[in-house]
Amino acid sequence: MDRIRLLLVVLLVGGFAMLQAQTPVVGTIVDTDGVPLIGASILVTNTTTGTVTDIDGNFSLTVPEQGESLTVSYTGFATQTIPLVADEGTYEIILSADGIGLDEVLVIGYSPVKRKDLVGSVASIDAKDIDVQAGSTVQSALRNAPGVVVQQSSGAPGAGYNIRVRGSTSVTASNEPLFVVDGVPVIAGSFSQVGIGGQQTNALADLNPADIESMEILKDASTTAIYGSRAANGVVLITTKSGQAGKTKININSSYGFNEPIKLIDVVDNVGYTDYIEERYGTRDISALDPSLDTTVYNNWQDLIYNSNPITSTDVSMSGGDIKTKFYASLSYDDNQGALEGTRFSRYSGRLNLNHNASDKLQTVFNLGYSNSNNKLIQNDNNIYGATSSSILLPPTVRVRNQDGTFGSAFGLENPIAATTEYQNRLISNRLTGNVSATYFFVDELSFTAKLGADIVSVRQNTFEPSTLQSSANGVVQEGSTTDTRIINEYTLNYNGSFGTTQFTAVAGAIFQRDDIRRNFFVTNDVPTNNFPSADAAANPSTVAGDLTGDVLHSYIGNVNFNFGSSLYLTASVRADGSSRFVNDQWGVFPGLAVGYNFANSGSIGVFDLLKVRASYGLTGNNNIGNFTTRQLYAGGATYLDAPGIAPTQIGNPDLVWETTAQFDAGLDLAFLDDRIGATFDFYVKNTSDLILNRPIPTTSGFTVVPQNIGDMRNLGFEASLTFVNVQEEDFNWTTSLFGAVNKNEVQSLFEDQPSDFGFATRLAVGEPIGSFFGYETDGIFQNQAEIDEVNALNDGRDYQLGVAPGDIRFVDQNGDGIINDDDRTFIGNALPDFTGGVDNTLSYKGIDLSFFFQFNLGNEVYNNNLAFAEGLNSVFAPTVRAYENAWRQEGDGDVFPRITGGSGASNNRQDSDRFVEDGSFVRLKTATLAYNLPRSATDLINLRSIRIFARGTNIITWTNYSWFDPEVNTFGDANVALGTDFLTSPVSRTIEFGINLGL
Amino acid sequence: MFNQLSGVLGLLLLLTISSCEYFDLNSIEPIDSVPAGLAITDGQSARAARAGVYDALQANNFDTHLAGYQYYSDEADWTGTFPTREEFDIYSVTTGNATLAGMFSAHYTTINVANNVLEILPGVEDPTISEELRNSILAEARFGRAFAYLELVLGWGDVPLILSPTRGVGEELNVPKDPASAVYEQIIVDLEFAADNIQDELSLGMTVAAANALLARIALYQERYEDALRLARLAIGEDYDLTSIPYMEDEIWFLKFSATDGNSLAFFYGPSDLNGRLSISPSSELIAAFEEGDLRRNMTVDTLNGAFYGIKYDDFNAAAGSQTDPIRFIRGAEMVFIIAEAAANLGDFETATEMINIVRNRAGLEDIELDADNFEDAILQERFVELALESGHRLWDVRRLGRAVELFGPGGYDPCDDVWPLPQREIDRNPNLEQNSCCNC
Repeated sequence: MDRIRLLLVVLLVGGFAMLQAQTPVVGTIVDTDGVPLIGASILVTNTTTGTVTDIDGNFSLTVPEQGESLTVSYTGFATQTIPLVADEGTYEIILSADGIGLDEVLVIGYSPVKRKDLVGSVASIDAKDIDVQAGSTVQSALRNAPGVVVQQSSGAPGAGYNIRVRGSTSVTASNEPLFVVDGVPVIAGSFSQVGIGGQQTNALADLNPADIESMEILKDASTTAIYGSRAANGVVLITTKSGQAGKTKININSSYGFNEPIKLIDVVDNVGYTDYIEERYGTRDISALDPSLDTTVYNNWQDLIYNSNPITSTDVSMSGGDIKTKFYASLSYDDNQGALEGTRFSRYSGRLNLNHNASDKLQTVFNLGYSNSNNKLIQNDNNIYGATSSSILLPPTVRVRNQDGTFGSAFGLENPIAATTEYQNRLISNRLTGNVSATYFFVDELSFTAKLGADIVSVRQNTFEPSTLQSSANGVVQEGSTTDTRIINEYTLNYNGSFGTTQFTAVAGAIFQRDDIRRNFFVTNDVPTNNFPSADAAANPSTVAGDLTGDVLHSYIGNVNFNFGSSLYLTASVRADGSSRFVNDQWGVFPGLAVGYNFANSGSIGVFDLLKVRASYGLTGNNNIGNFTTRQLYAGGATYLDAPGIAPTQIGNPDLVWETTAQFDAGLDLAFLDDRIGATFDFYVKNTSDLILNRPIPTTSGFTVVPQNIGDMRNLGFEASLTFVNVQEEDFNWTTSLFGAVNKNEVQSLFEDQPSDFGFATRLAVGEPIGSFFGYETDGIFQNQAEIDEVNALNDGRDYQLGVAPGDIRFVDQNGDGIINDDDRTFIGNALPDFTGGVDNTLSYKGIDLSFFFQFNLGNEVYNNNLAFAEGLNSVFAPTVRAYENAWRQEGDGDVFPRITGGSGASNNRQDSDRFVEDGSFVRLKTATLAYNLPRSATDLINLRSIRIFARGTNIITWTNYSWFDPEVNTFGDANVALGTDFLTSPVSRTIEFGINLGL
Repeated sequence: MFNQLSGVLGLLLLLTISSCEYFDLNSIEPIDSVPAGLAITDGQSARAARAGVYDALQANNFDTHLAGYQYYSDEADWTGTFPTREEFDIYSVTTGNATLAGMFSAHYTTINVANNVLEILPGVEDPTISEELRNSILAEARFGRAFAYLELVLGWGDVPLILSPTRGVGEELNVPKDPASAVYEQIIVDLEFAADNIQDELSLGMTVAAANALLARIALYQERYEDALRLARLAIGEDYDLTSIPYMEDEIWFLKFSATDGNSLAFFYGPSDLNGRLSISPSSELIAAFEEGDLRRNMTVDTLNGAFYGIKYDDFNAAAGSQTDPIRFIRGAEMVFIIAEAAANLGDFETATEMINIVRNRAGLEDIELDADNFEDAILQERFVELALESGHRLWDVRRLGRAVELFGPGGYDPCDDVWPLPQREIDRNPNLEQNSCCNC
């Protein structure tokens, strides 16, 4: 704390103000429609003298003697410089909309900067982009930024997202960016303590997207370094809405729509199943396989559990204020029922943002958000009790209910109807996120801000598996709760001034953050009847757990920005982080540096309004490991009967340090044709070293692994984005933006460069990108015995492939030793896309708005493990129609599906191979909105400020060659390495909504 | 103006003062774990560390103490789905077998837990630890360590002998193999310490008798018949009357389980109609081995839908993981067998005959007469049915008598199957560890 005081004194002494001779000036500021702009800022150019407009758009100001012009700015409008004319005392200033947003002010790190002055790589998402997303999560809008890959791993509402900014940097720690809401890093991740397949829940779903003004994605190290040890995966800054001075505005938004499945899989019907069983097992008496099977019964299980289900959203907000006090308040309710029955996410949220200037010297801000969300989950994914899994695999010849009223099932699979209606799993989250800050201006240039932030998440999860489910004999009750309390204290000293044409900002600060996480969880079995879904009614507790964890982070930050005459820019920042997660080396220092030069420094050069080259370099860290991972621990829980026991549980590694990512970025920003066309290009190299890996150790030590800093990974990429203001007329506006990115990931070193396996067929290996698939390369199907004999002859005495017959898959002998074994496996694909991008169009003609966004994801492959089961043609599971119909039956029957068989043939055909690797490239009409704004003449009649009616959709049309539900999937949820694997995971839904916005 | 300034500074000061302790970098400690140095400090924590040794023995119990040996003999067959367990059943355990790796490491986890107690506890000075308690706990830790090494040496032969707890993670982890004879010597030293120091009334289950019983078993394995005779008698006492104790209730040492500290044994041994998965089934050889009228047969196996299943672990009503069947490591009957076999080897067929008939009579069978020609087969047969599906007696007995190829050969047993391969992951991780000479190595 002493350090802060010292800095404060130094900067106090350094701060000064000038006294000048003065001239009075008055005026009005309006938009192109003549509507007064309230709270617009007027500054005498190159001075700190300025004011803001009042409720009627009027201002008055005293101009110092050397003042030559006024700089007028207002959010969303292009900044103008108005020359001051001698003897002219009154100005009527008209501001027009900011073409491609160069004058938009972003708060990057801890200081504000205009987009055109930026020398880092930052993508922005504004409220408009967020508004077009159906559902209830903030992350989906991040898709609209170059270099950001967004994937929802399951279609359940409230499910987790995987966000990768410029690729993956870690194997063991998190790869998710840091999310910062109004300056407070918020808690993200999954709080479910009950495994229900690969699905995660999404703590960020607690945020109401309607409250968000903008999101900035910081990508390069000069902008992220100020976030230090948590910034290796980029930073997403979220700014919530604030009020503007003037008449109080009330907005009422209401929408209603539905979610529906984008695709279902064709599984055989009862006749097809019986035919299949006859081919596989030689009998049409399917009841011999399981007494529950009846060849006359037909249920299309997917049709029974995938439906069109409602999604509704209601949001009321009020904003306004005066010059001294501004406020934004909102209340919303969202209810999102997934296309898959039994999944539902609903949320109440409220927010109050208040800005109050107690005096010219003291500004205070209060931001407070509360939400209550209720997430209803069902079992899914790789799980015989999962709804989607059983809807595919359970034979169509099972009854929904048996004659005795119990749910029909076979082979231990859950009845899909029971899975969606009987299984109960609710995760209820109460969350308070907020901050209070006070800024004191010693002089106009120098201020001190103290901020107290808090993010408190309290989650309670209850599940009940009644005995009507296959998974529970006598009823199972599980309950868990987690409370995560994050408190942040932040003190910053800001200097913002200019010397001649040089603008200079500086920030120094100290931040202290603490997280306390309390968890408990228990499982108890055997309830008297299903009418007692209660822990105290259950007879046999089997798991009781409770713990406390947390961490403390100390940070000291410094940042300086120079703008030499709007031509040369220089930014330097540094953050020192001390973390309780580390023992011997608690402190890390993360510097960042950027330089840029704008050749259009006099306003324009040639056709260019902006021609800026920039380069940056910096270090960021990743400390997202367990809170106590480094410690050598003796844990409780080693109970013997009723005697409490302790035992060494963790060897620990006190020498562990952060993973460090060094990133170099070079970029070019262009704007031309009166800011009608903008372009940004970025090239980057990210080298991550000190990867934290669990190094395998001899188990004679009593342990299996120790975490160590061993390994390197590289991401190299190129991003481009272009914005065209195609038409900018009074009645017609049309803007198109395109963006695209390529990212190449490569693992560069591992512990003794040994590969390791993840998921079903994913291998992490040096020289390969993360998410690579490993297995056999196929070479069609053995069409006849002669082909088998021929390859068997290659190796005397040993079969080329064990136990194969005509109709079985043939593999490539990579090492040419005449025998197929583990040594013939090779890399057969990769889950990472080669190219990601999008095209966004917004058009407005008179009162009609149309916007549509196409998402591109090219070159990503999916390991479709469904093929080994629903298309394995080897078991009692119901096969898909295409697998059954196209199964190999005689010579010449093709090279796609093998023969129907069990035993060694099936083992052969179901080996991990490139047969299961499919091209997952897709182009999606991701979002589209059509809206009509009633003309003012109509709204005036009913005394409303505005009326807008709209229809919008998400995941409207998808073009892909992927054969299963949807290529945007991962059964391993938020796994770092096992990516792009499909295994009976519930797919994303198509959402269509209709709504109305009323402005009062 | 001045008031505002002081107000702000006051606020900041308040935040600063309240934060110093709260935000200390070392202010958060786990509550379910403690640093190793603070783990064992007094009588209560010493008792807890001892429970940790028993808990470690409970871990991975099905494979480690039962199935690994039972599949790998003619007493049980694999009827489950795990291919790694099938490899045991067909005497073809590969180096990469994950079940094998789990068994191997489970033993060393127990050994490290015990080594921690043995290193830390002698230095703890606290009035709540009496010398009796301290020595008894040390003796139990040594017993646990000896038991783990016994199963290691019986499975793998030469293994690394590690007698101090793991602290660092460097080269010191790469411990080479020690000869089986050295491991046996350490086992005997540990068990003798246990026999001298365990206070039965303070113990969690390991007793002086159990220590002597294990010493007797080892003496028999090492063909030290006089020692075996003496130690077995010491274990059960001179007036031991097996016939007065019902079958399976003559335990000398067993690992207990409870609903909250349960196992899944009945789940693995039981058929699906009893909520089990029948991963392991009594073999036809075992079923055929029971003589007509042997009362033990119906206490060992049962049938359902024509399939046999073992019922020595029969808590079928409880859920997997909450089943409470104990694992009987040593029973009185085994001591009676040791006396019989040791006596016969020493030429005392009268004692040998008397002893084996005690066991046979309890099982409802007629007397037999042992002599130099028949005693080995007769005792082996009696041990087979008496101790079936408990521990790994069948494998160990057949092997020590040098008859594995004769008896298990039809199932695929080769001379090179006398030791299991060391798990490949240990070979990969420890450059000083030399692979055994085994069939699949």
